[in-house]
Amino acid sequence: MASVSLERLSKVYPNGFRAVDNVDLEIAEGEFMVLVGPSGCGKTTLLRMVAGLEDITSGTLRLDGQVANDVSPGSRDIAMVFQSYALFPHMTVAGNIGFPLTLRHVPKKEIDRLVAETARILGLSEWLSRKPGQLSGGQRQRVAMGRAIVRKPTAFLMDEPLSNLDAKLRVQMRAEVSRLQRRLGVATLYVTHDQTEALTMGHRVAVLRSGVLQQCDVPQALYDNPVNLFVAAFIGSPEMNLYEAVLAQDRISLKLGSQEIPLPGTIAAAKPGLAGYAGRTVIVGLRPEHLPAAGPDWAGPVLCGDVSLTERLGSQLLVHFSIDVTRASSEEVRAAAEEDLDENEVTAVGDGIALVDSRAPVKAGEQATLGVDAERMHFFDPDSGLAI
Amino acid sequence: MSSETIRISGNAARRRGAGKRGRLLARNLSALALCIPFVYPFYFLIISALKTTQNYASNRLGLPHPATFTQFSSAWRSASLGQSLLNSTIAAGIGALVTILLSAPAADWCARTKSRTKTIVLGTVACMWMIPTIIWVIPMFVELSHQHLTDNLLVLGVVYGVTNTPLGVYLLYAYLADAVPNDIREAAIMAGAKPRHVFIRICLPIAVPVLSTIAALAFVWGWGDVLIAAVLLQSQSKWTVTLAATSFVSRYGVSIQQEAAAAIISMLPMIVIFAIGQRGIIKGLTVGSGR
Repeated sequence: MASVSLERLSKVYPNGFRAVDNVDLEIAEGEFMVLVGPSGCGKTTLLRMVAGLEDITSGTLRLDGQVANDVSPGSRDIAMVFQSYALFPHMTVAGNIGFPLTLRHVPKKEIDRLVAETARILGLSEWLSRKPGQLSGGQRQRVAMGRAIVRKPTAFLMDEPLSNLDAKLRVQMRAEVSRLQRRLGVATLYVTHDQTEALTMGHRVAVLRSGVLQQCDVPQALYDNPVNLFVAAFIGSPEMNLYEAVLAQDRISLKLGSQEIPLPGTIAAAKPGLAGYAGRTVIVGLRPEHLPAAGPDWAGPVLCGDVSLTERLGSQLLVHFSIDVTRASSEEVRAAAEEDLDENEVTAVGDGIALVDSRAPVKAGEQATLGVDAERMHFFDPDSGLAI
Repeated sequence: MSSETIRISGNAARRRGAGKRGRLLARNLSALALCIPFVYPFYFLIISALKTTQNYASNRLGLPHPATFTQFSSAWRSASLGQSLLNSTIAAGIGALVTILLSAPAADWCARTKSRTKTIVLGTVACMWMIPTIIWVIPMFVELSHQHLTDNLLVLGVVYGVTNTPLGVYLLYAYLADAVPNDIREAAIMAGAKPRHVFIRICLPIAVPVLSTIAALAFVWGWGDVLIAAVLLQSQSKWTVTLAATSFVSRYGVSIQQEAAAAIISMLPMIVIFAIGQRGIIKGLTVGSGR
């Protein structure tokens, strides 16, 4: 039985705005579910509906199998970690962590024991008598986690808990939160706009757009098999290159601008849906890492582009290139691109981005020949945006 | 460069320096002149209270010669200032307490509610504050006398409290909206707290600085009131210190020196409160304004 189950959950505000639209989601016991999407997509609203801080307009929320739509937040046995940590500034670390227990009239000795145990798990033992104002961002974040875990709830809700930390600490805390969640084995719904966080932390990732659930799957499946253009454009950094292309009548090649890319015979078997697109325009998706620099020994199809900029990442080289092709600019792609980008995310300055070996002889201002890993091409219907 | 040139430029520098000092002096003197209207009453009170009657009659504005404290002891005895100081402490203290008790839940409700009723409540509270005391004090006296509630320090304290509640609501509302964001309230609710727990265990402890300011202001306001006390208190044994101090002014004459001594005695507790809590009071008054 799922710990948390959302059945056709919707939230409509009095002004008619539909923030969450018929979302179905199940979070199993011990599962780490990440809810990801651009700003304003309704992910925090959905989390707050599960918490009980927002009313549910329609649909059913079940916690441990019991309908919880009208259960008050404090009675849901759910703990929440807020983006701002929301620590009580007048209480010590021990007071903050023990607060949920004092409300439940747990004996003082037991509170002290549980607080000490929680502090030990989180490495806060020496800070128990400090006030939140005397702690660093990472320590405050741990105190907020401590307050959530101390009472061993049915589920954790986390609302972008790492977004206030600097980049280095965020990476460190990402691992700590994941490790802690695995150790405690409590169902967790984690909201973030950072797809790196989503892919690295979640057992499964649910992608939300305009209140509608787009896809929910394990991170690798989400990356390898996006169900539509939005997910394809949203997941992955640098983002997927999406172009309009024409599939040849015989389906053995693809016309990409003035260039023709032969398709391997395995494509037809792997993507039988392509049969209906012979001679028609499709959207083709190429991830930057599937466009290596084509050396003399490269036997597959190639794509030639004018390099406008190169960025060295140490082990790899980011190549911004231009080709005579129409970039896909459907609503889905624009919605994904409008997302606030993190400092480590990259946007194309030309028509596309390729991620090649750092020693590849690619220079800005010259033409580069990029190999195309055609087996890993993605195809989308240009009208519906759905994967073919 | 010739010695003549050096001498000329040295003189110019001296002239510039003298001009700068002159302007500074003029600025300081202007500032001091502006202080005169505020400082003069205190000066007059102090020198009058410290003079003998003869000294006061011969030299009203000069320094006391010789200085004497007889006016203080005389005022203390004749106006029963000891009792009236106690009465003021009781009435103003109850006033401060009632202000806190009424304004804290109201401000908390305003800070946490999203209802449009909040605007109406805050507007009404502001209107209450703006109505001059003289407008409502007589009808209130009539009503209280019907209920046999006049000449009662407890009732006077409650009236002080109610009068200061609008100020308390506004100050505390601004503070809570700033210092207790929604996340903190929601975190407490998620931890299992009921609204009363959030108020008592989270909001009130966080608001201690501004609650102290409100209590101090309400106390000072009650201490300084004459009008309401004069209307509600009849027995001399119940008089507050400000009311007792005015007893030296009668239809037939004024004992300025005893009046001055009584005024200084009545001011002393307030001066002590402000001297101790000045920084906290100013902080409490300005909180929320810097957002």
